[in-house]
Amino acid sequence: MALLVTNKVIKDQWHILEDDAQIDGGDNMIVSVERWQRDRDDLIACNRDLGIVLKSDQPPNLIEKDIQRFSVICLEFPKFTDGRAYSYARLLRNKYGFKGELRAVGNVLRDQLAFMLRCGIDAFEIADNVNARDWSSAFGEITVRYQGANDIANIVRPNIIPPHNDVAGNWSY
Amino acid sequence: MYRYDEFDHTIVQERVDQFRDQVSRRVSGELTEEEFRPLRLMNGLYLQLHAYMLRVAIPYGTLSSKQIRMLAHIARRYDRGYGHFTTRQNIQYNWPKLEDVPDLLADLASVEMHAIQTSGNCIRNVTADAYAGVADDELEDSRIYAEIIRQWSTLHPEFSFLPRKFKIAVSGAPTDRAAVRFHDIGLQMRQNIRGEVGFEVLVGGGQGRTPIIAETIRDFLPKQDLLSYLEAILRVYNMLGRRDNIYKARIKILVKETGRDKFAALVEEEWNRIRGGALDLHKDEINRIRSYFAPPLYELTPEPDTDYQIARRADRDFDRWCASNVVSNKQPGYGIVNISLKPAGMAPGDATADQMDVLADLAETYSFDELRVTHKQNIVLGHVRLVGLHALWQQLDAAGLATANIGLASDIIACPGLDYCNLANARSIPVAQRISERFANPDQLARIGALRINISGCINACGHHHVGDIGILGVDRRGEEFYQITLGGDPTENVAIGEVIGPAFSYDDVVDAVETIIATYETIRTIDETFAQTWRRVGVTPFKEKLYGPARH
Amino acid sequence: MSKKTEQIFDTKVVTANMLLGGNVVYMATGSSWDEKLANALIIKNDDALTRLNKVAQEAVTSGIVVGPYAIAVKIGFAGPQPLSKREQIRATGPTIRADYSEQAVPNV
Repeated sequence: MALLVTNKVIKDQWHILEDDAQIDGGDNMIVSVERWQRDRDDLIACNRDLGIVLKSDQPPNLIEKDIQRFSVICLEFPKFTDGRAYSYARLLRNKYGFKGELRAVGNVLRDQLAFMLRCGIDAFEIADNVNARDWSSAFGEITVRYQGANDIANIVRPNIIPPHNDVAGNWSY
Repeated sequence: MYRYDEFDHTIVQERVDQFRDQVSRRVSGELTEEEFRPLRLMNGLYLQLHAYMLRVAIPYGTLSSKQIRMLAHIARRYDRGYGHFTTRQNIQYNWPKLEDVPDLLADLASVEMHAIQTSGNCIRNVTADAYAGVADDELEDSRIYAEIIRQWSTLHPEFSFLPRKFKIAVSGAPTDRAAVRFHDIGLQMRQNIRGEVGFEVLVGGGQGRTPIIAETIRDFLPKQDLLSYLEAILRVYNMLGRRDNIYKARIKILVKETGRDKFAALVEEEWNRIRGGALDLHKDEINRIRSYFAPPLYELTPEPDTDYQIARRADRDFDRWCASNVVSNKQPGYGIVNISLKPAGMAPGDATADQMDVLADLAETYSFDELRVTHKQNIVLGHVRLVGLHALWQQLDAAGLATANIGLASDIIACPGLDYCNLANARSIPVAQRISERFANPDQLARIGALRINISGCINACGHHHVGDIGILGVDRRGEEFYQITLGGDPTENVAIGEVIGPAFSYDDVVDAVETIIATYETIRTIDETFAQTWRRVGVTPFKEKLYGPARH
Repeated sequence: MSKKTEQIFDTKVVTANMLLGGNVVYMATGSSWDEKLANALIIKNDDALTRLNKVAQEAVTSGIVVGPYAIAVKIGFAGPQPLSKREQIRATGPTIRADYSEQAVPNV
């Protein structure tokens, strides 16, 4: 899988540590919530950069106390029609103050990218064969917003506020 | 009415371009039907029985003459010369081609119209009282808040993939003409003890296969908190609503399974976190939107309406039409005119392109250029001077639009049914046609009085059968159409869900059954009693006995 | 019973909607799609059904039609007639007004 971040396809520096795999002590491990709950102390003891995957039925309050321990939180979209993670993203950014990478994984499609970005998701796991330029153009299809989210603060009348982005990097519109 | 500024224009135009690109990616094969389907649905495009169907949004049902002329143009250019007004105050075209839809949408965008969020699991067109701004019993014009909610909910990034569709209705008057108790969220304007106007918030109402009356989760919500409170409700629903079973995915099931109090507590908790923040609705913003809905420049010293009174006495048909189709406007000397789209023998809610053009002209001449679509599938001209009423009526009559039956037995709500709809089990429109032909005599209609007959072609209840005085539900029985009858439903503040009266009737027999029910009511009613009042007094037994014979003991 | 009852196969045709126009079509000879039910290929056994379903799926993949499926028909003098009310209406258009039917407005 490729990773789309800030309009570019980059190599993913992270790897998934399967639930039954030994903690290898390597860098950049992404674990499941189940693994985290089981081996929390051991994983912390490794003293490495950690990431976690929230499945679509695993809201952020499951890891409420540990959120700042993670550099990456992956939000899974098992089907693109399952929109729970949009709310998880907003809670992670606004309620829990998560500043790390929020990554959309699973059934991530071009026509959902802009919505995801607006909710504070800033990295997108996409199929290797997609055209990054074409996909990046999805972010600019709708340039105006009626409501604030995580890209612009909220709104009395948004057209008086120039679009900018203080969460997800330097997307240009 | 609301006028789009540059900002509104841009979003609609960009949406057209985006959809044009989505269609071309579908046609090129880059998108599969499975991937394209939710995208086209979010733009109101269905694939129905015979063809594509496009649902065009009419926010809270309000239209200008210019807009309805464009709707007529669309009907001629891209469809078969007619359109169908729906119970959610929208219009549907039954025959557009996928390849034409981008151009169709571009034409719509030229008059600030679109199909955004008329389908899909998102926040749908916000509906309001069709008499908003002109009713003499309202606290405030509900369209102000419907417009604010329209803007907030349009392409909302967090709430575009909800568990299921989501419908919001706003009523500004104690008489509920917006069926707020049968919406996912109903907002009923109230005054608190300090005299401030805010909203009672009702959640979890709906029809469909599980009809549920919405429950109040907040007695009084200050206006400034409207959007933060809505966002809290939607967030709780988006995270907790069921996604394992499409029939249990509406918020009504979540509220029911969670319990009203617990659900309310979850909403309040989230609301307390976000209230007073960026979603605060400032007075300036409310006033900015309110200015668009300012009353038109009424003639403040109305001429005496003697001509109108004389015309009513002289012309029996006109008098009858005034009695059923015209109600008083809060402005003295003016009336609210209901134009029936239910002439005997026709499809409820259908209007031809020529009729739409006539409506545009008449709105221009008689009603400050403004029309509304009602949730009963009729048209309203809100600001008609009584002195011009007779002339208006004559022109309506010439266009086949002067049927005097608003609120009467032939003012039937019907879904498209098996004649058009992919989901239907039985036809609805032909049943409505036959009932309206059976009850075409104006004297008979007047004698029967207020009566809601609502017909749905399947359990999804788009024809609101649960809330008809007489509800008719089409079912499939081994490939044959049958119709189950319910009695006693009510969508208003006297809210009730209809009661199934007994075994279903065949397509041939169902109209006779309706006639029997009405005849029974006429026999047992006290003078001036409406059907609903008689029903509440006597209950199901006399109707059941007439339909099925005396109960055996 | 000693003799096995022979499985009765309901006669079928394959129908779909065209991707571009949305109009109702039936699979006809040479893997073509035809608006007229009378021209539909009649399917009389499971093998033919499997074969035509495959052809239909290819037409989906290549973006010609959407949502193909087989419907039961009986064969009369005028050719195949759908058994279900739904498919009868689908074949002939809305029953509500003569001028709304497919035949009345063949190619608008």
